[in-house]
Amino acid sequence: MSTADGTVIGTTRVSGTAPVNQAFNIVLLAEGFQTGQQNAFNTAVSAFATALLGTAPFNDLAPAINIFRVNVSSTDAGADDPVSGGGTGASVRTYFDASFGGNGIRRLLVCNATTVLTVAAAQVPQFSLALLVVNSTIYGGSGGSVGTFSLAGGASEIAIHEAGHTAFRLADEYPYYAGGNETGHDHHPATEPQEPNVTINTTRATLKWGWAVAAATALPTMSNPNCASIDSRPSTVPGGTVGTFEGAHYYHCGAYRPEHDCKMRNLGVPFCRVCRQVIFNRIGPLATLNARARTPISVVSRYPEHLDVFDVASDGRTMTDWWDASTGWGGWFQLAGGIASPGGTGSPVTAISRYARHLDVFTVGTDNRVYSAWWDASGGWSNWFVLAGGLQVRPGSTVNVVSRYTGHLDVFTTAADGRIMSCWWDVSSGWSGWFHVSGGVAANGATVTAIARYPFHLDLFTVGTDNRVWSCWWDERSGWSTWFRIGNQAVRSDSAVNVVARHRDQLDLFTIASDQRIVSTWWNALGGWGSWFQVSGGAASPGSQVTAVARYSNQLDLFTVGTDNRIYSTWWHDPGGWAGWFNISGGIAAPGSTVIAISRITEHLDVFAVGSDSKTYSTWWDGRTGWAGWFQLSVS
Amino acid sequence: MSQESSPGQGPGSMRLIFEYDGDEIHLISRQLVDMALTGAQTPLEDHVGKVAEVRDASNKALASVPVTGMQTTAEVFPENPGDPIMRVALEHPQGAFTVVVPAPKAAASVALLDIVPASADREALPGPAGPPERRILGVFPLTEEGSTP
Repeated sequence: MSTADGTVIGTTRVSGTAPVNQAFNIVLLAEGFQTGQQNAFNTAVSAFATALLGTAPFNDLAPAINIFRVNVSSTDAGADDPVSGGGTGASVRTYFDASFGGNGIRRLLVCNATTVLTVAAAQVPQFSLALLVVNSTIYGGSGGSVGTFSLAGGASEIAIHEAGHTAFRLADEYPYYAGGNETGHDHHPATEPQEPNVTINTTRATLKWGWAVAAATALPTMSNPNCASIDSRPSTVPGGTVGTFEGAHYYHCGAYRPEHDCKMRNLGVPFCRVCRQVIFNRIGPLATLNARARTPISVVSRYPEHLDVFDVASDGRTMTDWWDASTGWGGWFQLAGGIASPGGTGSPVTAISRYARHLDVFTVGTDNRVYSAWWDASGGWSNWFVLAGGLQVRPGSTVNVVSRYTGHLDVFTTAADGRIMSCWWDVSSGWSGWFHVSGGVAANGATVTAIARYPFHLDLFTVGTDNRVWSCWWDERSGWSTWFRIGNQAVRSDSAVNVVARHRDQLDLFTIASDQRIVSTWWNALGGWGSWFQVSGGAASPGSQVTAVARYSNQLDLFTVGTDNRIYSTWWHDPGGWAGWFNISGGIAAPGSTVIAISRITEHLDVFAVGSDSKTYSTWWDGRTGWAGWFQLSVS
Repeated sequence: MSQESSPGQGPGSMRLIFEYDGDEIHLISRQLVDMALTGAQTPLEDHVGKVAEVRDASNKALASVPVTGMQTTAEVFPENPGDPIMRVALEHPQGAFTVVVPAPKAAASVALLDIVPASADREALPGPAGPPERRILGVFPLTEEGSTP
C-alpha cells in the first residue's frame, strides 16, 4: 500500500477565480477512488464546496477562496478498516494509505500525511489547506495538518471544523475531553490559552474579544454551577450574544468561550462571532481594501524597515496593514472590530509610535466619541476604549496626536460645537480630562494640527470660523498662549494646515486657499512669520489637502491631488528653491482624497493614496532608483 | 536602502514539509512558492506556541510563522448529532506538517520553536512569571550548500 497503488490523474479548479498566489487555496484529494469512480469524488468535492461557501464567513470571503480537486486513482476502492479498530478487516491498496481505526477507534480516519502534503504541494504549490476525501460510506474523519473525511452524511462538517484548527488556529470550545465523564478536567489550568476563541479571563477591559461584547452583557455571561460536570443548560441570553460562557477548551470550569454555541463546540451549528472574525482576518487580508475615498490614510514607521498603515474601509471598518522588510505586506485586517464615524470626509484612524514596540491609535466612533487603542509587541492589539470621559465631537472629526516624549501624548480634536479640545496622557498620571484650548473655535470641517518642535513646546494650527489660519502655542514655562491669526490668507473651511519643522527654530505651513491654490508661509525664530505665497502655481482638487515631508533641514517634499485628480508632487531645496509640480508615476486619485507620505530614511519616500477605483495604493521614491510604479496595498 | 527592500514587492516565500515521529523532526521538502502570506510576523518575544522562525546567517530572527499540525491528540467525531466530540491522546504521535515562511534573501535557516509560558512549569512558585521559554525543536538550513533561495 503506497503511491505504487495508484496514479495522480490531474488537478481542476472547481470554484473561485482569485489569483492563485493571492488566495486561500483549498485542495481536496481523492483517496480510494478507482479510475471509474472519479465522478463520485467530483460530486463529493462539489458538495463540500457548496457546504463551505454556504457557511459564514466563507460565504462573504468567496472572492478570495479557490477550491481545487486533485483526481487520484487507486488500485482498490475504499480504505483499510482493521478489526483492531472495530472494523471489517478490509485491507485495500490505495494511494494515500487511508485507514479507519486510528488509535483503535473506528471513526478516526487517518492517512499518510507526507504523501498528501507532497502531492498537494506539487499540484497546487500555493495551497493553504489540504483535505483528503475517502471513498467510503463508513462515518469518519480527523484533523491535523491534513483533514480527512469520508462520504458518510455530514462528514463535510468534520472538514470545516478541522479547517478551524489547521488553517485558523481556533481552539475546541467543548467543555470536556472525553465526553464529559472524564476525571481531571473540572478546572482549566491558570494559563491563558493562545487560541483566539477561548480564555480564562473575564475582565471586560482585557478580554480578547472585548470588542464584540455589548456593554449591557454581563461577564461572565454564564457560569457553570457544578464544575464536577459539564453545564448542559440552554443559553440564558438570546442567541448570538457574545460574552464569556464557562466551559471550554476541554474543561468544565475556568475556561470560557465567546458564545453559547459554535461550530468549534458542536458540528452542525454556525461559527460564533469571534471565530468568524478570526477566519475573516486570515483570509480577508488577501483581498484589497475598498477605502472610504476622502478619509485620509495614516502611516507610521516604528523603525526604518517597517511601516504601519491605517485606513478606513468604505463601510467604516477601521483597518490596518503593515510592511516589514522581512515579511512583506501583512494584508488588511480590521482593528479590534472598530467602526469609524462616517460624517464629513469620515474620521480617519490616526496613529503614533512613541517607541519601536508600541503604537497608539485614535479615531471617532459612530457615536461621535473619541476612541483609542494600542498595540504593543508584548501583547498585540488592545480593545478600543472611550478616551478621557467621552467627549462628543463633530461627526467625522479628525483626532490628532503628538508625543513630545516617550511617556507622553497630547491629543487634539474639535468638539461638536467647534471648540478646540485637548487632553493628554502621561505615563505617571494616566489620561487627563478634556479641556478647551484658549477659547479657540474651528471652522466647520477644519482639523487641529499640532507639532512639537522640542519636548516642552507645542504649536497648534487650525482654520477659524473666519476661514483664516490661526495658531497658538503651549510652553512648559508659560502655559497656553491666546490664539492669533497668521496673515490674512482666505482658506477653505475644511482645509487642514500641514506643518513641518525642518529644525527646531523653523516652521513651514501648507494649506489650501479658498480658490484651491496651494499656499504656504513660514516662521523662524530670527524673522518671525513670513507672507503667504502660492507654491509653484499649484492647485488642489476640491476637498483634497496638501501633505509635506521634511527629509532633511534644507529639503521639503509636497504631495497633493490636483484639479485633474492626478497625484502631484513638488519639492523645495536650499539652494535651488521650489521645483515645478509633476505627476507621480501616472497616479490618479479619488476626487477629494488626500495623499500621505512618510520618509523612513533620508533618501526614501513612501507615498499612499486612494485611487480612482477607491482602492488603497502606494508607491515609493528612492534616491538611487527614482519613482516606482503604483501598487495596490494588500498582502505580498 | 535598495529597491529589494522597498515595500512594493514581497520577500518571496518557501514551503517546508516536515515529518515527525515522536520528538524526531526531519525537513523533507523545500519549495520556493509565489504566494502571499497572511499570519507571518516579525518575531515577538512574548509570542507563545509553536512557530517557525526564519533566521539569517548570524542567527538573527527575521520573521516567524505559527505552526500547526504537530499532533499529540486526535479528535473523534460523533456519528449521531448531539453526541459529544472527544479528544484522545495519540499512542504514537507521528505524521507530517507544512509551513510556508517568508524567504527574504538574507534567510539562511528556519528554527522550529515551542514557546511555552513561563508559568507552565512553575505555577506553584511565587512572584511574577518570567519571559516565555523558547524550546528549540530543530534548526534546518533553507538553502542547499552553495545555492541561494
